[in-house]
Amino acid sequence: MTVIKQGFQDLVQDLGRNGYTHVGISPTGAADKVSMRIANLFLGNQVNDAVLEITLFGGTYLFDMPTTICLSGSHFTATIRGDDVPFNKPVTIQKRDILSIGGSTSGARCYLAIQNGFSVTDLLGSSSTHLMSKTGGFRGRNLQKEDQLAYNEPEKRYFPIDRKFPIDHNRSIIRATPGLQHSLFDKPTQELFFSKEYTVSHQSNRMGIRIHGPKIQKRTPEDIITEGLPLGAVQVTGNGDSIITFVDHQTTGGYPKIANVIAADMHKVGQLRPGDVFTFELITMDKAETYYLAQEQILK
Amino acid sequence: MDQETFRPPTILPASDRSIMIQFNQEISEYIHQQVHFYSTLLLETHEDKISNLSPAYSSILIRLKEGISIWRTIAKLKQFFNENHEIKVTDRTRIKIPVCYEGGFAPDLARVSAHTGLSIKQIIHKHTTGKYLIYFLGFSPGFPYVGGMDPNLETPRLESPRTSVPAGSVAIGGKQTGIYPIQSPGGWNIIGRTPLNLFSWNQAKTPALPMGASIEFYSITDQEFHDNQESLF
Repeated sequence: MTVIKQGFQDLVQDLGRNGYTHVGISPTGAADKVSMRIANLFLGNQVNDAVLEITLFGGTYLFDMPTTICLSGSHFTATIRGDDVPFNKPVTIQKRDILSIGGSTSGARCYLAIQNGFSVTDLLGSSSTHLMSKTGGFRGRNLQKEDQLAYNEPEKRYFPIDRKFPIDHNRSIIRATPGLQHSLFDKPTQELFFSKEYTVSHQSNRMGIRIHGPKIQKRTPEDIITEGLPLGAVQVTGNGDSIITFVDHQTTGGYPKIANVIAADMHKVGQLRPGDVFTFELITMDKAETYYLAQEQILK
Repeated sequence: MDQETFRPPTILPASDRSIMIQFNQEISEYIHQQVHFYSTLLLETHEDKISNLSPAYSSILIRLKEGISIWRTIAKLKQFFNENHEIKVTDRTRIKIPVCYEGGFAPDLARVSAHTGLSIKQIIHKHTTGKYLIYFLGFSPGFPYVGGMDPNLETPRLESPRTSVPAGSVAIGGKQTGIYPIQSPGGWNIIGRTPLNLFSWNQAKTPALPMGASIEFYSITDQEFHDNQESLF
């Protein structure tokens, strides 16, 4: 697949590079793994097959051999030969077809899956791009004009077309459990945190989603001893702003964590775009696990 | 290690997909030995449950594999710590790291000097006479959290971090000293650079600067820096 026009940030991603945080390598992987998995499921792919993650606006891509693709995630304008491309449906691609992806009409990201996945050099068992260390994926960076991204040979296959995935995509409410250091914040502060609206900052990226809302202060000024960072941890920085720990996060950190986005809502975080407004909803750890296991069932 | 004094760690959920194992919340070699021993053992024995593990100064964060239940795993981990309370301490790997504390390799040496009131000569002397321990790796690929710096060298981090710090940079951030094994963003005061190649993606599982190793720095000249561009591998 040749890139004719570059998108805002097209990255090769899969489910992530696991097993290396103890040597400082963060897992990375698709920002919205639910949509990434759905795109692969519609093609009958392996769940971990490499996809293209397209953020805010896409590019134009020329296909060099026939295959089948599927777009999933937030809806972006997309055309082939002047026709709109449906989302969540296998789409047949002829040789020399040109796919043009425009801007998003909803959240931050969509996923372009291709039959049997995109093909890049494996790095520690994963195809994911890690931007900070400029490694993995396609040359450790986003796709640029004239890049040629290889994809695997398709074979004849029947596609599961009528599948439905009843997933909650409402990103105005993000559910969270209490963070490891929630007790460093007094009760009124915790209530403030879970009652007010937050706006997603333009300074957000795959390492962290920076959010503006009420200034959150902990009871004592001391920092905590640096410790491992869970995905989705809401870290409260010195100036009272908060950061949601995201897929390319540093493996360890020293800011206190007031809350943690639940696993079943991490795909919503991957769809947050600058300017989005949302609230956190506090739920118990038990409920969070129930929602996670239910979501896994849907994505089987 | 004395079994009588070993207190099993606190084990609690950190999120609905991760578990925090907290030892005594202090930065000490004694606690480090526990963290090091158990993180190695957990990686060996719980590969089926653990997707990722992050040891730190006094804790281990476990990120669970898909479908593994958090409460059942916490119960099993409590049992694991009851059954494995004898800590074996292994000999430390000793690593000597050449550092050039000159010119362009040390852009923040003057800042450290202004803050500490020490001359550049004194800073280099204090930094090279220290015996350091790698508590754990974190932040970025291969980045060692190093303890043991002379408190007189303590210098606050930069107001705004650099977007790019060259690989091999040796730096001071607050009470800590460290080395950037790969080029990355960073907010610490850069006081020198080593010509050694300290991180290789091909050998990510056996980092050049591993957890639990003790390191020492020695000063080299600009000429020696260029003559010694090699790798620890």
